[in-house]
Amino acid sequence: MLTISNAQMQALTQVWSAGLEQTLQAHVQRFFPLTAQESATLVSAARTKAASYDLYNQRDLHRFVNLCADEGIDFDLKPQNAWMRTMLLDPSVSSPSQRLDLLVSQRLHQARVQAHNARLAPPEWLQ
Amino acid sequence: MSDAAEAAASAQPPIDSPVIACPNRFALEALVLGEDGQPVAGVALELRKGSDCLRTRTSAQGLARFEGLDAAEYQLCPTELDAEAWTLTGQEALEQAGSQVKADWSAVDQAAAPEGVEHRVAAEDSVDRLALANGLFPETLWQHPRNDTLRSTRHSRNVLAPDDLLFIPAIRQQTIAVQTKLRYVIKRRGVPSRLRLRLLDSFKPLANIDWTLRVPGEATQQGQTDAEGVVQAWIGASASSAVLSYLSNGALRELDISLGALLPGGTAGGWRQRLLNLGFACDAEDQQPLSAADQQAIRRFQQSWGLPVTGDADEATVEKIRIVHDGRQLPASAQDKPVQGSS
Repeated sequence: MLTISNAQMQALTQVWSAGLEQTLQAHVQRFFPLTAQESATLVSAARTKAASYDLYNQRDLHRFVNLCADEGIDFDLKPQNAWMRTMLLDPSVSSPSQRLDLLVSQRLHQARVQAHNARLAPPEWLQ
Repeated sequence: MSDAAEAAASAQPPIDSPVIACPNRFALEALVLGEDGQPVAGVALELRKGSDCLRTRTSAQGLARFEGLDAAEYQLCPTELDAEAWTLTGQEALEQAGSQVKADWSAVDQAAAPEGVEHRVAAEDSVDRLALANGLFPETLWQHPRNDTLRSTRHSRNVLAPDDLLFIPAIRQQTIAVQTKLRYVIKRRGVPSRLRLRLLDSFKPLANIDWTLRVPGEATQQGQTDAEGVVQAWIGASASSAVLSYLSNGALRELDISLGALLPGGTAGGWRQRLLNLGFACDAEDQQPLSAADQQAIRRFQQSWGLPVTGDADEATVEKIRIVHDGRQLPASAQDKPVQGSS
């Protein structure tokens, strides 16, 4: 059986963590029209904000950065997004990652409903 | 959500750690569907193991997943639903049953169960809406013995008057035994609500015509009226308005529908709403004495249905308006037709 000591784990995690910022910036630049500087600023702010919602792992950070890039870094302070903050702090969901899962799922659902409704809106419906 | 954000959300996130644990833990899922077979989002679920629990809610796809579990038996409880508001309809093997996530157990909430409350009905309240908000099956709420008196005076659970007193009972939690590596399918009873509307032109059904129903926040639906001109659709119980579009005689008609706003037929506001819905143009606001428009509308209605033409909103006329409008509650003797096409 392979045993990894705590010290080894910490060393591995540090290496992983050092590259995380760059990975997130590359991800943002791939999908959003932001400069390198803007991406770096966004990722740094998003990581700080994500921590306030107990979101730390790489998968969660990718999704949280998506959210910040799309809605703005202060998305959770906007009155129209109060429901997002509520979901991210929902005490009836044990895991912070699952709270983010639910939020992402809800946003995708809303986007699909909007696209569907746009297709069926008059006058297209009459054609 | 922008296209870029949708694309970014669809991208496969990278692995979380340089070290991947063996998937020696498992998951189980619950899928909650409504009466229409569509996913129900936001249902609170608790997975219990002794005095500990995991909590989550169903996603927009109706799914809730519990991960990081030992292969064992657990108790699953929809914590915000009454026992009559849901039922287990099936289970199936879970394809991705392995889990690398660590379960974050916490203590089961031991707070005392809330008691029922007497609710003073507000404008646009309906039993369906209140049942949804309180985790109840609508008929559980409506048939509660403490609502006997109200039930005897109102013909429909969704036609209440402001200041009616409705008893909302407390939910009674129920749990089921569940195991890992399975997905449990749960039906949320009484959700969504059913909208039924009959389209008439001069009291003749608008049969087999295309319609489109738009409800804010919901997916637009399309369909066709049946031979009786009836539109039937599922809508969220919390919806308060809808727009029905249809083609009549080649012209697009749009009908704004206020959901849950219909007053009891015996009230002044109630007969006005029904008279307007039936196409008799009276004033929308209640007033005494009746305006000329009110009297004219009532006369036309009375004439159409062979009643003494008085122009007064007398008891017989108001009851006839209710019966004609509310349709499905027609007593056998009243299933008559108008004397002549009108409206």
